[in-house]
Amino acid sequence: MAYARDLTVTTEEFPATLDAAKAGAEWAWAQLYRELAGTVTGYLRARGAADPDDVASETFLQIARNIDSFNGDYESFRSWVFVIAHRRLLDSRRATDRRPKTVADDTRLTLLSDPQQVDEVALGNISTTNLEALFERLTDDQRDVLALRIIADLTVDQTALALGKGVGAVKALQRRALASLKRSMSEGGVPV
Amino acid sequence: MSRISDYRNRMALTQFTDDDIELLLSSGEATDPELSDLAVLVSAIRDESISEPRTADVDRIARGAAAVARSKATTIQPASRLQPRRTAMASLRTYSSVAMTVFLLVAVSSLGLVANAAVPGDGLYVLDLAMEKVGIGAGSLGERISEAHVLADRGDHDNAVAHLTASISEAGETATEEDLVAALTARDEYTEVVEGPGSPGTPGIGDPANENAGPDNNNAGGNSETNENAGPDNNNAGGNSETNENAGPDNNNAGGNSETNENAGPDNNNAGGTGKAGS
Repeated sequence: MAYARDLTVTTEEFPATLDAAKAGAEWAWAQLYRELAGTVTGYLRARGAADPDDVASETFLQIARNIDSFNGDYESFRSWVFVIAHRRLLDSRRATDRRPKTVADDTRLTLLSDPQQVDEVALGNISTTNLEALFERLTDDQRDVLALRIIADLTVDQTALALGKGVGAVKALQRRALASLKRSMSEGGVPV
Repeated sequence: MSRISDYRNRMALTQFTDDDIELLLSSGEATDPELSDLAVLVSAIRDESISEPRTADVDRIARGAAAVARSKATTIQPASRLQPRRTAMASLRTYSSVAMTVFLLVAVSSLGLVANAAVPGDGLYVLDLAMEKVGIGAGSLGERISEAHVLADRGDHDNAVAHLTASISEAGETATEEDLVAALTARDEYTEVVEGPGSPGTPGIGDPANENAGPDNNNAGGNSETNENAGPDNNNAGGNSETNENAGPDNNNAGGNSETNENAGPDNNNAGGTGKAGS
């Protein structure tokens, strides 16, 4: 993966960790959770989960229930984790019968017209709330794709698998999503 | 390119390749100054969204997940013990279904074969006719002749003749000439058995007039002055009738020394004899 992070589970270590996790070793689950919880929770938050931490917990318990059926390398495991996370997100939305967390329209409209916030975007200091507001301008599918590509760090193929879409559709969605974000920034006065 | 279309193209990022987009999303790198603001945004999204989990959460989730995995491992064991039994039962069901299907096929086929060999008067003859109606079994005049032979072999010549007579009438134009000749020959043969050789026929010698309406009349032999039959399939054989007159098709005035043989309709036969006139 081009976007390097400090991995606690390396590709070489993963088979042993997986076996231990299947056997119910706490250290293995702690290692897997430490490695993946940040991106899973970040994905769930970006996608408007009412309680991202709770859905992330549910996701890992579901992974534990199905771990015996999984066989593959670490990249496959990451992809599988986000397939489950995405389904748990949909389940939680249905269960709570609550709309995804939204930001008020007036906040969204003023986000990028505020010179200070424009500077924040340019400097990479954008806040969580402002990111959510940016995402609100996208369609659901576009948000799914961008969240899985940027936050979960999945490839196009893995994203297509997680969302049950074709690779071509994912490519088109990510291109349109980025164009929409760029348009939002342009309209807000950010020089392009 | 107009300013508007140029703007739209830039807004849809159509001027950038998939590789440009891929690099932007996977590593937050801009391959073009136009993408630099998006590169900043992608990095900001990633940095802002991903956070290290709390140690307390790591411990709690790890304990819970490990316990679930262990319980899953222990509950799998009895399930795996049940597996062969379920498989055996499933196999038994499969074998039973296959056996029942084969049995039914054999039973139906056997019944069909037996029914096909049935003759009028047998219990399965109705089934034979029903099967023939849906295209199973010959059902031709040839089969009817065979059935008549079976009846005759049983000594039931009356029914053999009746069966042939009805079958010839039913078969009509659909029967082959060969079958028709065979059927008529067989009927004559069995009729002779029923009535005895040299039987003068009905109504017999010396009747001044035989007048029959309807099909399938037989005025054999005899010296009737007049044999008149209406309808098809009449037979005035032999005899020294002065006049044989038949209306309708398929009449036969064979032999005899009739003075006049007159038949209306097609397919009549005034053969042999010393009839004075055959028309």
